[in-house]
Amino acid sequence: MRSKFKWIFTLLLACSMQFSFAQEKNVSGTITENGLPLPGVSVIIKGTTKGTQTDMNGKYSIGASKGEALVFSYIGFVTQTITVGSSNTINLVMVEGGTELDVVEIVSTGYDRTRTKAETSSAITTISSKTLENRPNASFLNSLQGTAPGLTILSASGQPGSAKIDMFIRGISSINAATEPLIVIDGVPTNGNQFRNLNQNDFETVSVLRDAAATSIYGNRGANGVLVITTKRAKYGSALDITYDVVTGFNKLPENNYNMSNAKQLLTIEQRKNTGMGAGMTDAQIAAYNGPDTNWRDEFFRIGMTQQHNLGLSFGGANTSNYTSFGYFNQEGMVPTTDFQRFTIRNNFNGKSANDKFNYSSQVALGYSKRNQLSQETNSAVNNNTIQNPLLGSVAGLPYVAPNQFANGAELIAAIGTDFSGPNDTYVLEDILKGSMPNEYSETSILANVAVSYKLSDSFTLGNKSGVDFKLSDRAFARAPGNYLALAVAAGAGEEFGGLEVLSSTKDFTFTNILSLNYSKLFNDAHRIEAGAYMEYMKSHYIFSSRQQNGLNPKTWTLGSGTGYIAPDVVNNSYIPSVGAQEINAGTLSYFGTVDYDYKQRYGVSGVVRRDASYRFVDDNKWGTFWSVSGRWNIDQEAFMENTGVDMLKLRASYGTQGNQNVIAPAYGTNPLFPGSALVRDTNVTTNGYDNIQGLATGQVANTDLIWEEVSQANIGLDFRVAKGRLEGNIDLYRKQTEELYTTIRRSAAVGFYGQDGNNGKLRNSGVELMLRYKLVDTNDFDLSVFANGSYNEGKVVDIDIADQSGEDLLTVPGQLTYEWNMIPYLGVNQSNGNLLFLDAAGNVTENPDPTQDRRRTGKSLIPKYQGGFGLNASYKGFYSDVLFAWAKEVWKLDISHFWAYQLDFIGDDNISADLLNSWTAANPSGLPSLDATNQNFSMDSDRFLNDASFLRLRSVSFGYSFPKKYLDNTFMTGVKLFVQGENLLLWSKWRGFDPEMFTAGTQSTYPNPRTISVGASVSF
Amino acid sequence: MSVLFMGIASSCNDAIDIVQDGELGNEVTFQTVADLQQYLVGGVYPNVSTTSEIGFTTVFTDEVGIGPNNGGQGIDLHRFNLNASTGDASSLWLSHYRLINRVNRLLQGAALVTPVVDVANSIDETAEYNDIMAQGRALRAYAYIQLVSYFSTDMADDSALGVMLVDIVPAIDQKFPRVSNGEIYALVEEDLAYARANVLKQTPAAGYKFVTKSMVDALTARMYIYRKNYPMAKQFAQSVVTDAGITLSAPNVYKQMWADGIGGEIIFAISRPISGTWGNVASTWYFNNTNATGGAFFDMGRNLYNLYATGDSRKTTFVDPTKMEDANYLTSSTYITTDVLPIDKYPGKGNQPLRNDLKVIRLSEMHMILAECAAKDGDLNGVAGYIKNIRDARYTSVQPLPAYSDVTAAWADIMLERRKEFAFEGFRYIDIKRLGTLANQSIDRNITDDLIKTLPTTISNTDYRFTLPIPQDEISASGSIIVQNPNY
Repeated sequence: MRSKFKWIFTLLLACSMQFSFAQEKNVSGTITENGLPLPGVSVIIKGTTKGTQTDMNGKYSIGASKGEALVFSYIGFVTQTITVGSSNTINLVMVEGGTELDVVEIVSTGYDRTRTKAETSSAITTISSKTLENRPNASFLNSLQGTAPGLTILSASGQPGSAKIDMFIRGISSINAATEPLIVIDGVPTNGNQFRNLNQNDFETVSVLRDAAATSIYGNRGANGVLVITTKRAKYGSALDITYDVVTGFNKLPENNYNMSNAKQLLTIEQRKNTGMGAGMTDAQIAAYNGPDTNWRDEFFRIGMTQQHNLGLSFGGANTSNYTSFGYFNQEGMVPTTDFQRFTIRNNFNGKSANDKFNYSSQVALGYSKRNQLSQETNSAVNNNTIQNPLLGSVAGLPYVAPNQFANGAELIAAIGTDFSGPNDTYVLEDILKGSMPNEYSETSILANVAVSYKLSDSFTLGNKSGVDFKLSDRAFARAPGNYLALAVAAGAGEEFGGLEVLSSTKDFTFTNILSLNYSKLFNDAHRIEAGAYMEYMKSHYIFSSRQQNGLNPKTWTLGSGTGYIAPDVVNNSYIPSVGAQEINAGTLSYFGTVDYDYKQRYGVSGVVRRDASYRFVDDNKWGTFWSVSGRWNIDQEAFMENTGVDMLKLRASYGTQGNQNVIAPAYGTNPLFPGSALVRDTNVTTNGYDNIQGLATGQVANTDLIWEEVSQANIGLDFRVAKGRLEGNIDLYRKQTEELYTTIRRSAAVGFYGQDGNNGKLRNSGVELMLRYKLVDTNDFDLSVFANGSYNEGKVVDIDIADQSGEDLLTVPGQLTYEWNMIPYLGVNQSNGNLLFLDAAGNVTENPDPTQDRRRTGKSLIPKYQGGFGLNASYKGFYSDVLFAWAKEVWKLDISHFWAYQLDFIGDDNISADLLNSWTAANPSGLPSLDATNQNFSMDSDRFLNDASFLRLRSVSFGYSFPKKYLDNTFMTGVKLFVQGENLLLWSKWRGFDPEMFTAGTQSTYPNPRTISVGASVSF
Repeated sequence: MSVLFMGIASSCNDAIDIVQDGELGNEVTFQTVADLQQYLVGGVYPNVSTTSEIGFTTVFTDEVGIGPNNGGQGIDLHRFNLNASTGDASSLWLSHYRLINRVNRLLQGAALVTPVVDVANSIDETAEYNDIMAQGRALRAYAYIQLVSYFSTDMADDSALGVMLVDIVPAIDQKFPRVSNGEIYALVEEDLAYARANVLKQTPAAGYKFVTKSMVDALTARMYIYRKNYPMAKQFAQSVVTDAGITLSAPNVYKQMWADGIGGEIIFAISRPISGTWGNVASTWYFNNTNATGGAFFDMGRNLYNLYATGDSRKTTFVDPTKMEDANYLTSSTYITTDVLPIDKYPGKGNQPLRNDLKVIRLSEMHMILAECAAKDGDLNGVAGYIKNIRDARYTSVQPLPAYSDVTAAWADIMLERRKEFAFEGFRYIDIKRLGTLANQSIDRNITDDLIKTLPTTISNTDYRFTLPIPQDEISASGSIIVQNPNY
């Protein structure tokens, strides 16, 4: 390794020897506006990342060579470009009227490398803070939906502060391995896939890196794409700026569309089925029924309130600048026992030496959050449990029983024992939702980094960045001693005291260090070469411990206080507490180099080579090499393009590879580096053996062949801006192939298990992405632009060694769609007996299909084929409106809840859909099976409930008013903005459940995304 | 500067050369005879289970009806939908091959260990070492007998296709074809012979939760009766009856035995102690407790219940007192909730309401094997005598000697007694398969055993479904190397 590193240096030196050095000199000047100095103006040498800002007196100084162009830009002013001539002084008067687009947009391409937009050769979309600020979402990921082509964000839970957000870029590039993009915050790659403790109001930009040219620099972690987040920082030489934002909102549970029955409807169905309370009732009795008619949705849910406050302070001196923010976010859940509260503090500091040679910065973000959540959130086993899942319970609860019949668990158990039939399960849920199963989490987080850099010479810069990412999560969960389930379990076990309490704690710590040496030089006023050599070291530690007490004394027990613990009764094996702990260490080490060449900002070529090692693999598989090459042609710079009205036209192409070491997809919200920490070693364990005798057992059986998943990607793209900047956009075409696909290798039972994780197969995603923005109106008073982005992605399995999947719901078969549904065609109802009809493999109609052999490909996949977003930004004399729609098309999911709403066996026990009033009878030929159909359980082997989960949703809409400056002249304020905002207000979908959005194969009752309306104000001083 | 780089580069391997704390590699696992003993109890015995057999047999045959709390559990299987994807077939296949794999690992580990023989200090671990292997091999034989009985089309035919013969620790990607029953039985006989010669515990009294010589003999008798090798079956069954040192349990002992209070007539049972994480056998039928309101998704089949006469202690031992009998169950529309017969053969223990030891071999099975041998010889009186032995033990009063008009009637009575005696122990399916044609009997359900009274209550005793399909999971891994059973 060491020798390789040296080799890179040698190469760099060799490069620099071959060219003569261009003469660099110091250019300085003063920038003014209306005769006053203008601080904070960005001065950049065109085609480089080299730049500075004007100070408090509007002065700047920069080293530049003759022939280089200086670009002066400032928001709200026209950007100007001036070529360095023989003079060492360039003074300039800035003119108002420019728009955001004219600012030279700086694009982060990773590891603190930045490029102007014209000079990137990769597929990158940058989302600005404007899209994210003040959105009432605990996680910024929710706010990104629909904003970038190729970026899929599907949230699987509306639990406040939920970690259950699925995100992928350009389709799913793996089956078993992690598919989440890498998230880089302020130049430090994180292991996180949960960001509830980050305040999105602190974000300056979020860049979505999609092609190999952009992601290969992240080598071992870039295979799923990369999100690069830059947080706000103050500019040098800027006056103190204080911003205060306050937002208040309301969340509401969306409706489902299952058409659940009311009391009379259900009694009618029960009468017909001759079961439940309706059995034996006459039509007249049902018509006269005036008992309870409970809508359990109203009992179990509420309108939750959201509040957030953000205070931001920034200022900059000549050599230091500082940004500080304080944020508070509070969201009540729609289920009364759920909520989320967060405090965040961020301080971003920048400093430099007077001669600009030494630069340093630190970004420190502290967060503390607390939330109460349903145990369903992390325990999918209760998704289908009417006792513990209010989403299901509110749908399945019998309407003809009254709520609030039982004051507490003791009354309930006296009434129903342990019989959960009929309405009893709903009563138990009611008891739990009184808060008798608290599930409280807190999370303390530190995300900090310190970067230093020193200019060794005009060309060489040495830098080091160290980052720390620390999360401490504590959980306190209990089945309170008076809770029904606690009493029921105690009664079953013959114990006096029920209840249990679990206290657990997780520490997740990652240290990252990046050492870099960068080189940049312009030769002969035409050739610019930039190169970098890097070493990245990362080490992660996971420490978990938990304690469970069984048996709580209701007299003194309170959650987490340690009071009321019943002493162990060893004789009767009662009240025995249990403990558990886990520790995992993980790490990676990488060396990489980058080279960029530019000729007169007209042509550019870039390359990256990266050697990566991961702790997860052994022997020859430990190190992997990943690389990319890319090129661009800025066609607009050619002579023949003059006077064509084309501001920018750039053709890009790239090819490269990246690796994925996270071979096991982590659970929501957990660090992907930790699962599978010993897959390559045979391990045995000491264990509580047979008859509780201490023994030894076989643990892990090794797969020493385990190797990196490798993604190679080709991309061609076109960026353009025409019609004086009115229309801009880009198009990308890509093909992404995953080799050494990490999936299950089927094993013979002879080895002791059927499946083992390993490398097996290839996947391919190919697609097109398009992004457009058009300024319809652009006047002094009225601006209106519309934008749209969309992508088409087809994921196919190229190769996989699986002998037969005929009995599976979802196929991964070579030549077919990734996750293609494999179901028996459902044909409808047999009009002679009301049974269901299916099509068997031979093409015959049957009532009794074979659930293995009669399945067939449907051509429908779980992964959306088309998706995107569109919207508009408008402003008129201080009024403004932003609208964002998100959509996905050609995505199919199995609606298990829909089946349950139609499940004939549930009649009498649970509520079911009033659709069944129209069930088939001899007298009523109908498309719904008879209430006495005998083969409805084949429904879930068939495509009967394989529903279209395409959707179009009004993701976000806001309307506001910014007071013109003249009204504020005599106040202490410099800006005031009032706004109203809505999230998820409208949804168009054929999906009948609460939310079509979650990325799960069979959607059961999971917590849907809320509808939120909020109002807010933003004041700056 | 280069010193800085080098210093960092050389100290960085700590990030990539990581072995997790507390990992136990193979090389240090098997070092002493004590290690082998620990692996026997930690790695081998915990993988012995009859839960899959019990779950499958009760639901597929005629031992259960749909219980009041059934939300779809097991209904497909109960309605005779049996195919390669059926979970029970898959888990039955895997659980026994996992046990075989662990025994093979024990034997491989044993090859690395030399028992200490230190004459000076009168230490000799040889017998202990051999006993460990004997126990392992007896359990491997048990696994193969179970596999052959469920997955071979005809377990009495040595040339019929059997199961995969695995007597090594296979490479991770190794695949095995099915071999003839004869080849499987050859290994089973070798294992049993070794076990018989080397096992230290002789009788159930020495520890019926572990392999004993009585257990090995009883298993041998079972293997031979399954193979219709009557003379050998008779020989081993007789030797168990003579040597095991136990008698058929009287009603009060019998009830305690099922609640794990006493060993009684048990020859071998799989321990499922109260504490620790062990399987709960009664969760095959219940969510919470083994009574009428304990969340029963299956209860006792009505026809089986009707077979237990008043005075038969099995009626009160196998059915919980919270039972609800509906005299009009045949005509009632609410029979699912009004006619509830909670299965109580596994009544739970302590604070584990669904957990009991899994009784694998009991003395009554030896008497029934002897009855079969008598029937084979046409000795109707002999059959009657063995069956009377069992009935006398199950009732508090002496029962009359049965009389049979012909040998078919004798076979039918054998099946009847086995049905009553071994209900919920995972025998019924194999019994119908091997005795159904002799006794002219098959699955015999009541119409009220399903939610819908019009569904079929039986299938032919020669139906292809009396051999389990090779599970799809195995076929997916092994591909064409493994042959599926007919009609699947």
